[in-house]
Amino acid sequence: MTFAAKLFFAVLPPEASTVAGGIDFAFWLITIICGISFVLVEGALIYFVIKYRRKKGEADKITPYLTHSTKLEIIWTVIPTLIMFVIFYYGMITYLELKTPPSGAETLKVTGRMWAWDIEYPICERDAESGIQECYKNIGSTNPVPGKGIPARNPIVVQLGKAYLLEMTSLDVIHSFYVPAFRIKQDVVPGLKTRQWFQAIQAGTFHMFCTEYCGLNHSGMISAIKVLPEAEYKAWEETTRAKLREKIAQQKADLASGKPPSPEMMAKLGEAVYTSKCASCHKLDGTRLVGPPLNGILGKERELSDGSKLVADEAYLLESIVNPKAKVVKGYPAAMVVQVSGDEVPQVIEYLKTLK
Amino acid sequence: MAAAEHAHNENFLSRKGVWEWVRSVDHKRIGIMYLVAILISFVIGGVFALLLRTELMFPGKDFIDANTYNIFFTMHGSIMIFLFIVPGIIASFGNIFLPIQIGAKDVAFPVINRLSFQLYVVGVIIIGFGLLSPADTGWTFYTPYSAKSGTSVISLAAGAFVLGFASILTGLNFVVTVHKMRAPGMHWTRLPLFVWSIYSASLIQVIATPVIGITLLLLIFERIFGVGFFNPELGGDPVLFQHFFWFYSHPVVYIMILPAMGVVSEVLPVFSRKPIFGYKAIAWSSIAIAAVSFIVWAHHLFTSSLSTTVAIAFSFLTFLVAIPTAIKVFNWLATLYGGQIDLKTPMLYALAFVFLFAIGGLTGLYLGAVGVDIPLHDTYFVVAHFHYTIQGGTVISLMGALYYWWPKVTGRMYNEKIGVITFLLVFIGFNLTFIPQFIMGISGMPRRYFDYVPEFANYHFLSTIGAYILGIGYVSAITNIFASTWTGKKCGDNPWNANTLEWKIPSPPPEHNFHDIPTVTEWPYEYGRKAG
Ligand code: HEC
Ligand SMILES: [Cu+2]
Ligand SMILES: [Cu+2]
Repeated sequence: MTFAAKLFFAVLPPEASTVAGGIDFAFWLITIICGISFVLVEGALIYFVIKYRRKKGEADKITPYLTHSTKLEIIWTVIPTLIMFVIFYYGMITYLELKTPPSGAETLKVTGRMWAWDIEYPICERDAESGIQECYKNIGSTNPVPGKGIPARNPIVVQLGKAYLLEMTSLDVIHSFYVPAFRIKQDVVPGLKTRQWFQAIQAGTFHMFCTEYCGLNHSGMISAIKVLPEAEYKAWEETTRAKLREKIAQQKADLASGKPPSPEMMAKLGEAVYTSKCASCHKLDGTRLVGPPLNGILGKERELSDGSKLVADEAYLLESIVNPKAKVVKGYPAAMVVQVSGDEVPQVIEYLKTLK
Repeated sequence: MAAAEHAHNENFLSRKGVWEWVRSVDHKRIGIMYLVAILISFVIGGVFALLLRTELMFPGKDFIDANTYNIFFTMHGSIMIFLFIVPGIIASFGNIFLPIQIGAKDVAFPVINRLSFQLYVVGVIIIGFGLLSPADTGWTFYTPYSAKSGTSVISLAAGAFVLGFASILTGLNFVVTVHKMRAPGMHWTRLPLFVWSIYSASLIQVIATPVIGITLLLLIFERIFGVGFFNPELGGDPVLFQHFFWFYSHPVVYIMILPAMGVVSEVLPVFSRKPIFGYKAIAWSSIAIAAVSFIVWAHHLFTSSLSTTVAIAFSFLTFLVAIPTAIKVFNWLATLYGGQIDLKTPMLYALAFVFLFAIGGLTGLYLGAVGVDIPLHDTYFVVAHFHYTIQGGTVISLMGALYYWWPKVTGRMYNEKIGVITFLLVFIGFNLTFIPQFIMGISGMPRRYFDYVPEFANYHFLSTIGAYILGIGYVSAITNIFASTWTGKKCGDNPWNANTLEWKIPSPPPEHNFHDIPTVTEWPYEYGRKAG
């Protein structure tokens, strides 16, 4: 293989899923067809220009009066048509493969939101006695500086060789779930459920991008997919389950003791909520992002879009989070979309209170 | 020559003053105003492109922030599409030369023609108002983002809506003009191919533009009154918007490219001294493209949420549109065969068109094949592909048209040496900008990204360097041609020794084009000699 060919082969991302090979085959087939057509067309163009070029100072020549040739025209209509059928055919079969999930695939629930992906796994622990259930959820966060590479923190873990079915929706605008190494891409549409499947055949960590423009941090809506061989995956799953059990035990203990967690504890939990769910829109240094800055908000006077004014108290914060459209801050779009659970709300409010 | 000297006093430019331009219904003046307006838009849109490329030169934020970036790419796309390339060759050179080429004194409805330009100006002003809080939705306005974004989406959409009317009026005018105003003897089979192409593009304009008008209106309604068409929170369907949008915006690609093909079909025979090869095939393929262009729109939606059947059907239809396009390329090549090729600047652009457009067309095969499109969709591969067709096609052809026809408009010749050098800058800069984009698209670089992972850094760097060269090339090429208006040598009525009717009247053309309507006796490609 020549150096140039190597360079070009390396251009395609790794073939890390079952469908990648088929798609790449079609890709190379088209490349060969295009390559030959390119050489023929551009070759003829350049050859004619050189061969029939008018020399400097040359007098007018008598050129052949060729206006058409039915035979030639039929040939160059029929041949491209046949070639296009072939390309269409390979496009079609690879697409069908891409869109037909095998039975028994494990379902992951994917939620796109401005500007992160949340993945819900069917990995759940349940305490039979109290009925408390916790499932593992990968809560994504916006990557503010993709230029520095994707941080290794919190990748989406999947198992090598296992088929996954993604059931996807969006909380706000359209996003698109793209993993180049898997050759999969599917838009994630609010109000709709879209589906895509994959089965990884290569271990490693791969890029995952959002490919539908979704506003300010579209390019930060990126993450990594980590494919683990079965043994490692099982180990990861076991630690994940252990953490879930710990969480349940903690909740049970809190319930049993009947005492609410301390404000410091709440604020600490709230900080984590803030980082994963609010920081993509709100800054804490007094500057504006998508929404207003939230540092020292408690007790501040707010002006609303209808012109009315109020002082931000705890009730206002609560309403702003739970029902953001009810009161919209003047000068900002009613664009706040967020999913927080019942216990996260008091935690994040507790956290906001600690900020100056 | 004597006739030309005599006519000189009464040419269409003799009456001076701004007011003469504003009130004029002369198709040539309207065409020139359109030409100047679109070229200004082109330069502004180009500056935005260079600002974007500057930010992208290195990974990380080093020039503008994400919000500004998003606004700039919206401006770049909207200006280039709505203000520059859609009116493009049709409204500029179509206006100036279509009536002359068919032997008419003006278009069918000169006052409506002026109204079209006035609407264009109004549209520009409305869009200008939006700059107070510039939109960040991209030129595609995809819902629900465009329904939610806090920026002035309404004025951008309203501006585009008004511009749509300008283009409907132009299209209508040309369709009627071609049907009703052809000189005696100007049969359909004697029409210059430029006229054929403008005619097909005008048909698309008249049929497709109302759809985008209605779509944008619905979007405006949704934003102002909260009526749910596209926003799922209000019970609407965001994908419906994409269908409406591309129902117009795919055919619009051919509004842009057909006239460009028309220009090339004029320039190649003149500078090869040979008849165009396969006249009927080229004319019919224009019509075929116009027709098929209406039934391929969903190939922009392969990843959105189509049923597999629909996706496969649209993939098939998409290949149908490729066939007439391929036929044209073969015809142009055959036109060169055995000719006496004169590499003047207009010819260089026409040849570059064939070269670049072939690349644009071939890379389209990847995107038409639905399974292969999935990983490539919305990556830089698509960006490079449509720049090869729209810029490598339409803009390059427009440059060729400028170099070919401006000497006719002014009667003066441009500087050939600068013409060639600036052409080379454009050609090299263009390829350097977009070839790296093909490669990084294949590697998975998504489009509309303010920042990117470091793997793509080298490609982005090269692309930015290319863009700078390209920018310098265009500005100097355009400067060269306009400077000839004042500094060029007089070049007579027919410097290229061409056969279409515009070359048979004085330069600059008289106010009413023809003293006596000519009678046409042959087709315009009577170059070369019949064998035997
Ligand atoms: C998608 C972006 C987005 C996210 C995510 C988001 N917000 Fe907001 N937020 C906004 C916007 C925009 C406003 C201003 C408009 C309004 O009042 O609804 C706002 C307003 C607020 C306000 C009122 C601020 C004021 O100045 O009066 C509070 C409080 C608030 N958000 C808290 C939160 C918390 C807590 C979270 C995380 C759980 C969060 N937001 C997540 C966009 C967002
Ligand atoms: Cu997104
Ligand atoms: Cu996005």
